[in-house]
Amino acid sequence: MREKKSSLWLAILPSGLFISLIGLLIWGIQTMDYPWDFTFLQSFIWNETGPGILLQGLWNTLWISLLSILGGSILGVIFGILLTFKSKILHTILVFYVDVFRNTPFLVQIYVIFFVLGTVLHLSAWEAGILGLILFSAASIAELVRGVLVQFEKGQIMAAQSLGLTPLQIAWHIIFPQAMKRVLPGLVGQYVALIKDSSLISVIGIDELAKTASQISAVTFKNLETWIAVACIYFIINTFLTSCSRLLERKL
Amino acid sequence: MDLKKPLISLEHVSKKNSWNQSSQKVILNDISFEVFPGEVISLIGPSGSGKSTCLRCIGGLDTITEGSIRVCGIDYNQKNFAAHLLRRKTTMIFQNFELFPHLTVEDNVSLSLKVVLKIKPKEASNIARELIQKVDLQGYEDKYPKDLSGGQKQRVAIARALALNPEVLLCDEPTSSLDPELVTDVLDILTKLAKSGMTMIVVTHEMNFAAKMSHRCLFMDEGKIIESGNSSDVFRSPQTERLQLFLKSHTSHFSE
Repeated sequence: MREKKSSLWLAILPSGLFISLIGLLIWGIQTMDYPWDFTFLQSFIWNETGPGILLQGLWNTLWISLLSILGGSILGVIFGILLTFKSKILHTILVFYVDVFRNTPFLVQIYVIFFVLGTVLHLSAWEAGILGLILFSAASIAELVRGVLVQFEKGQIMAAQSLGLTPLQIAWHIIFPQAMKRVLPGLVGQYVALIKDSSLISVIGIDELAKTASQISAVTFKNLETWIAVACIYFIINTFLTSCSRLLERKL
Repeated sequence: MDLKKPLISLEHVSKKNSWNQSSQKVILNDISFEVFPGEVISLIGPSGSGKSTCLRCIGGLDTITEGSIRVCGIDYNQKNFAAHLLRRKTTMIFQNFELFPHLTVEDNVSLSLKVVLKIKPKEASNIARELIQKVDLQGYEDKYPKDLSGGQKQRVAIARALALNPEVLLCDEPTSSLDPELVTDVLDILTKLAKSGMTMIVVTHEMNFAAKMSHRCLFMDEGKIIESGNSSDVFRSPQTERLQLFLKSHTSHFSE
């Protein structure tokens, strides 16, 4: 059989869709007759007193994301490993946890953690917000890790056992390096989702990027420009993250 | 040979798998045999007869429900031995090679030296290179398993299994997933090993190899040892009808 060239349609269809979308956007911008002006953002980024609130919001978002990613990964990996154990009680509890946090809106989780748990444990908005993000992301990461571990080839484990490696040595020398590579793409997907979802904790009054954006638009009445600028910032952070992971994936 | 102490002895070993009370599957049924140092034993029989399970039990990779297995004088049922310490004496090669894909050929071989025996990396590398030479794979040290042919992979697996200097080499259908032209490569290495005095238990479908190389042959079916004896006797004049049928089907298959 001769090698088939990929159909021309495969190239035309997506590029056609893409071009018409851009066209629609340009058309919309022209017909809406809106006085576009991004220059006012300058004072919110940097002014005489130092970094503006937009930059502070970005700084807070980065911190929140970093802490949640670290916490969520550690907790998620531990839960993922525990999910592969055969203990029935442990399994039931963890599956319940994973299901609750994956199948309910994060917004509701944040409210419950802040107003219910927060009252009992005296959590500040910051602590409640980060705890919420950690618990939310750990649920997805646990499921991801479990999936990779369950699929791991039993034969390799048996080969390592026959060489006299202890279970811990097998986990570290055989499973970990390979599971790492398989888990990475999904993990970065989780991180990207987490950074975007961190905008939701603005509802409990944390001055992160989304909260500052709504403050700016409340003062300036320039909703569109502000939110587009904020979207660009999220885009840059997440594109940087995904590019790094692609590079790492190729290296591993 | 009878004057020596047996290296491995199985006494009335049985293994039953029970998923529930009503259905119980007997995988090994009252197996007893002994293996002496330097002996090559071939385990033959139809698939599902428990040969591989028997091998895994000897390797300490599977559990038994009754009887006792002793390797090098150590009773496997004794609780005060950690499993990973027992397994060092009996390394295994597998039908599907089971190399570690994230490690180079050399690291596959030297892993157990570094991790289990805590030998310094440089020294471990030297030993590994020597072993790789022994299986005729010099020049492949830095390649990854995915770049090797099946026969080369199995030879790496043999080198890896020999790294710990085991008392017994257990071979679980070492040539079953190889292309016919690659089978001889692996069999040559195994033959060389057998001649050097290595104690081996080989589960195999290669009747020619079993007949030529092994001192004794055990024929298993449905978890039981049906017939055993010196290889030459077993293959020349099989006593039981089941073995006669089995040999007939297998030798006609190979003379095709």
